[in-house]
Amino acid sequence: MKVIKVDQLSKSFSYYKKDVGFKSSLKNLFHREKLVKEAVSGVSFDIDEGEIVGFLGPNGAGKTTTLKMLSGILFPTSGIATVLGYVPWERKKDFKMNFSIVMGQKSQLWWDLPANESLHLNKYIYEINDYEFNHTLGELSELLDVKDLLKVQVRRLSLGERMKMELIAALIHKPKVMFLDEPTIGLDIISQKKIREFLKYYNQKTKTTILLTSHYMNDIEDMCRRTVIINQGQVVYDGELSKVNEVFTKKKIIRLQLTEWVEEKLLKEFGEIKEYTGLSATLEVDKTKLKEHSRIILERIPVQDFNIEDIPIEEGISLLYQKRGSEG
Amino acid sequence: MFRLYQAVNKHMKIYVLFMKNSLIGYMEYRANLFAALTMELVYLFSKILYVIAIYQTGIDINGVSPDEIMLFIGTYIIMTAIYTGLFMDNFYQLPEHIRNGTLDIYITKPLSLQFIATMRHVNFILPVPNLIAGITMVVLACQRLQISICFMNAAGYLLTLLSSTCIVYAVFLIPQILSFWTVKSGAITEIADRCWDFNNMPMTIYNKWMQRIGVFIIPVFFITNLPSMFLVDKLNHVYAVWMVIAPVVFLTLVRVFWNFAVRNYTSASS
Repeated sequence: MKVIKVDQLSKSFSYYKKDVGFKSSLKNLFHREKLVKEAVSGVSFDIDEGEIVGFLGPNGAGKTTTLKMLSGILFPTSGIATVLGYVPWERKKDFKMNFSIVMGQKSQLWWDLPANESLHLNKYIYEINDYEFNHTLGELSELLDVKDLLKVQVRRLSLGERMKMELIAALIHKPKVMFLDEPTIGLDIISQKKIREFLKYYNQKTKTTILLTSHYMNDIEDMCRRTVIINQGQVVYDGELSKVNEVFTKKKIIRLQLTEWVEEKLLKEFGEIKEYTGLSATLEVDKTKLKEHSRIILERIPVQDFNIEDIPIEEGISLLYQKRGSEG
Repeated sequence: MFRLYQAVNKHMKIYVLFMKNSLIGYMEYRANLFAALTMELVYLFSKILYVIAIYQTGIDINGVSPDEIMLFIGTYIIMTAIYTGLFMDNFYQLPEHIRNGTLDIYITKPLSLQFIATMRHVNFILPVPNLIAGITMVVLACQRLQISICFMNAAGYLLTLLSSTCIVYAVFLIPQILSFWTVKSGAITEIADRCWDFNNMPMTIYNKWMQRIGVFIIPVFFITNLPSMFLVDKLNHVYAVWMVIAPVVFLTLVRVFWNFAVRNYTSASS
């Protein structure tokens, strides 16, 4: 069952520019040239129930704006979207009762109070009965290992601990859909990993549909089978992250360790040389010629070690980002 | 109808929690709490000096006796307590929420956004001296004016205060809502604050047209004049009816304006 449907969703913001200096400020006071920025233009995708999908893209790609439209925070300029059958920006109560959003940079917890006070408030906001509330809170705090921290003032918690509390606050009403906007931003590697493991486990156990944005490739690689890559407001890839390169690059990497010195020009005929020391080399080879070149290399060149690899995902993705950039 | 009852009930319960959380928040910072209370006590002393000053002048202002003025000022101080305690902090924070995009999370909650944004915080320190001073002045004035402090008078006065509280909410929220467009609203807040001070003298010092505008169109005079007039039996039929209608009219107006403005919310970079 499709839980999230997005069709040609677009959002543009108006803004104005100001040159450096007082003179231009004075000019701007009376006349502002209105400019329009298309933050999201014609994004379409569907997400099934229980899926965990990663939303990847460079800064300003439109990830957060899309997420904000899907959670009803922003009205789109055009296009349609439904989440759990509701149009998010109609902001119906039944919709709000069944989804939640966690933003890495914005907190829903009361800063000066212990987290359990904010959670208690959410109990009433989401109309949760006592048994259900205590049960869920016990389970989540145990899973995230923060049981002893519930009574500590939020401002005294570390960033990682606070993020765990944010997750509890977002999951206390057992939402069917969850949006996560950079949930691991600023966290150390161990905290990042713990949060990833928790989300993965939670998704498997409860079948909650999760859509998450992140800059960290590890987040997406680890948690999401499917990735939607967005750049300059448009979807540029939708599928498995590990297969990004299959679609967008027609190259493979050959790594060589050599037994004796080999001239650079000898290797050039097989493909583009990425690294060369004389006794080792990395070549980027056309996929169609891979078999043939491999055979010749093994025959003619004094090879000690021979490896064929995919181009790293990061490279494939940055290629994708640049491609759109240069097209735009 | 049942759904409406449920919704009101839920919001009232949550309002109690908002109050509780605000109070707990104050108590977390003990030094600040005691310092603030001490400062407010000094402030209370200055209010008492105000009363003494009124009696020392001993003159009538446009037919309003010093006792009536004390009743009026008492009401003004009570209303100031209500405004600063329930609304002021929230109203001042609204432009900040808009500028920083912190309304985002509130929008996603299954509660009225207007309710969360404008009533989430209750100030427990600022209104304390005002409340004590205001009530004392009103009770003293009532005794001197030989107004019996019976149930009918007390209930009637409380109802007029309730009506004024609704007006305060609507009239002083509207300028802040403008910040959905202007983003920063320091100057607008300044204007609204000056309007509040229009209330510290009886409206009889202004001419008829000013009075009409201040009661019916931009009802700043409404806030303290009408409850005081009720106690001294000067509330005519038109004003009495308006005390019932005005809260409905202005709360509806602010609701419509709010809904319209929220569509302009553009959030902020994250």
